[in-house]
Amino acid sequence: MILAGSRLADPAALSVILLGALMGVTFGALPGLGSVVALAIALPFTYGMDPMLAMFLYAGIMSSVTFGGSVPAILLNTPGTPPNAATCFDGYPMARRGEGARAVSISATACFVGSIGGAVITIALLPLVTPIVFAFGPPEFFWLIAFGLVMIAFASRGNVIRGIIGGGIGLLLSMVGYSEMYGAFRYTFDSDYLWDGIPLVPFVVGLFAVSELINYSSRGGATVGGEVQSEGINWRAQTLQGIRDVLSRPLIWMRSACIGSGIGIIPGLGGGVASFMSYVIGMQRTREPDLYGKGSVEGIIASETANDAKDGGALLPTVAFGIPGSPDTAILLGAFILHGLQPGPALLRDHMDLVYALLFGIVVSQVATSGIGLLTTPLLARISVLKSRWIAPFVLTLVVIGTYMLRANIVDVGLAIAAGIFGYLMRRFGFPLISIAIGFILGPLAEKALLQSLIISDGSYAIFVESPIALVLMICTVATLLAPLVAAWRRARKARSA
Amino acid sequence: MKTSTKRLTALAAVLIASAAFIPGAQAAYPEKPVSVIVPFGAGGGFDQMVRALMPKVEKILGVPVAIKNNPGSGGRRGAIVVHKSKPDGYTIGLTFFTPFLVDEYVHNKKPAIDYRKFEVIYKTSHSRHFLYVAKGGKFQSLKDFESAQRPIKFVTTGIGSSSWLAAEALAVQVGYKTQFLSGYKTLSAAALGVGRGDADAGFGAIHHFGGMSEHVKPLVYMGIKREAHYPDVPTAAELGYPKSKALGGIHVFSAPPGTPKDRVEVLREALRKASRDPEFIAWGKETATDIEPTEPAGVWKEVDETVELFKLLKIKK
Repeated sequence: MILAGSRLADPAALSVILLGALMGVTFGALPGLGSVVALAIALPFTYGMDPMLAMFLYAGIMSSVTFGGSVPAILLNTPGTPPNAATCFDGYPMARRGEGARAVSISATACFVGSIGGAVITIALLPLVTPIVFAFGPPEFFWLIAFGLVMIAFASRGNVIRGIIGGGIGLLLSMVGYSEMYGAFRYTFDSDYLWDGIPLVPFVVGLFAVSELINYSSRGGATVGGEVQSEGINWRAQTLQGIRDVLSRPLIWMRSACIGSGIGIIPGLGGGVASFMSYVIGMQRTREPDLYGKGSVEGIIASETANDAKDGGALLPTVAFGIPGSPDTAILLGAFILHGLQPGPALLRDHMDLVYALLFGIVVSQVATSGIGLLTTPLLARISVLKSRWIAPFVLTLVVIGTYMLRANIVDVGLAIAAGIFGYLMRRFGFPLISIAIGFILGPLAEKALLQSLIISDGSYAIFVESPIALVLMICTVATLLAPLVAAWRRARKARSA
Repeated sequence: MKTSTKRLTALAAVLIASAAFIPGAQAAYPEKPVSVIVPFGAGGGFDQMVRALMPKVEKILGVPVAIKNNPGSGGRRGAIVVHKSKPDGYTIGLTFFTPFLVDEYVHNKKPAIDYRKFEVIYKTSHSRHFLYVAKGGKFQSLKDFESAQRPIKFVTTGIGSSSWLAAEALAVQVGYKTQFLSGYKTLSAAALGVGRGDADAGFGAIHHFGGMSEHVKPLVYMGIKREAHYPDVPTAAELGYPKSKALGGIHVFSAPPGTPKDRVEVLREALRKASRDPEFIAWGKETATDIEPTEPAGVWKEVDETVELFKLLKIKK
């Protein structure tokens, strides 16, 4: 730890972290790109580099992408990366009412506390990584995901039926493609494009960004709503308010950091699940549920803190077992091997300095990113008052370039536009996009965990209640399902007695 | 004066026109960057091999080599991109034939491309897998597999994947029954499944199960000779199952059908030299990748051997 810490004083190390932060913010802010692309681009350049400097670069990229992606999510309703979609739900309504700087500032501060919280939790959990990773098998995984799916009902508060239908549509769309469980192609219509299913990034970017562009262009004006006078907005005061908003809610960001780190540790979930789960749990636990989806400060803190905290957590299975905890760490795993390091117990024993280097790099990069982010917030927030005729072509260009660059496939751009039209229509008919996104992201994970559990148990359903963790998660899921019914029954009884 | 200008112009026109028909007068190849398509994601086994090899190829060719990852559909997508690229020698790729062979000979389905039309340039290497089991589990030798009273449960990334094929191919030779716990995102995550006790066994390279070395142990190596990292682990050939050597990650570079032969030969010579580079050989030893420089005829022979193995699977089905 001391060796890794002392290397941070090296100007080369700081430069590399800052370079990573710059790359991360840029790739995060461009819809469709994100950390996987940034890491893949950086990977070959680090081939001959000192391994610790290479780790600093990777850490710089991984940690700063989240904040970069939150800026367009808040100001333009265009998530830079899929996990930032959860930030759109409250960030954009805040920007609409002229509080764009406050929302961006909340995001910068939440990312900062999230990365520190994530690093602290990761270091604390280091001795427990084996029991945690081994405790989460397919049945536990299934209940965790089922818990998230049930949250669709909460996420679409006041619109439960449409929310569930939306979730079902998302789930159905996620079923398209080759099923590795059955070795069969589902709904691919003999199109090789659909072999791997509907690609996540163009779909999510299209669903949110393009649908908003259509909305935006048909409505005219700017992000800031027509009744709000943009001339009177004090962007600097809002930035300071954003910092205070986060710091005055320690329990919320601590809870979100724990959720993010915890989800990061479990291999196969990733940032999208971390931010959505944290968001919906926040929605369930809040005293002001009606504010969620309408510009809730807590909503932004929940999603952005968890999204950043998951980076530290995802490192644990990567370094301890060579199992990537997220798509970013899958690239990182390749980088370890490229530098002649075999992740596993031996790496933890012999190269712990590199693990600390990554964690410290994540924190330092986030300090730099959040600092620069807060300094530039008053300037960035002005995007929200630009007229749509200026901003819409710019965003559309970003979407087209971003979705194309990811796989160099022009059909991805067409899919993003189709998803946008679909998203626009769904909005028009009152279907919450969050439920479609949750169904789309969590659906395949739930299906896989269900089938894997049944193969392990040779078809016995008892596997879903055999372990204490599975049992607790099942109770939480059932309780969440029943909670609205119980509340309605209580209200009815109160009304009768009154 | 006018006449001499006309004559000079006519002479120049004749020279230019005739230059096109003189072989030696054609533009040198390569004169611009060459793109190499990798059909799997950045950071994976195939990608690492290409990134270790291409700096050497770049030096030999004298032009930059751009590595492009085009993952999807178990390696099919990248191969299709190479197949459909302009056959000018400036786009080549690491073509993984196995998924197309699975489509044709295991699933009895017409492959998306006529893979036999690829201009095979060269095979540089082969990443072969180990069969591994949980430490202290029920199955500790291939004999235990043979005498099992129930199907052996294998972890795999998907039905039709390389780990699935390896389990099925060994099963038809050894005579055990298989069951699959599928859907793991990576072979490393699959190794966790075995370590946790979700399944009995799995197939993977050292970098897949090495991180789980306290929980799983390799039982058989699918290579031709014993792997230096695990000298005590016998090969499948030693145990009487030599056909398994065809399985695993085969690193074959190909050009689109119709690429000019002279250009293919330039690329082949570059790969021939690069695969004998001491640094690349050292990389192979370090990562347990068998460096196996092979000419196209040898590659097609290996494809035919794989087909024979897959036909056995079809008969079994």
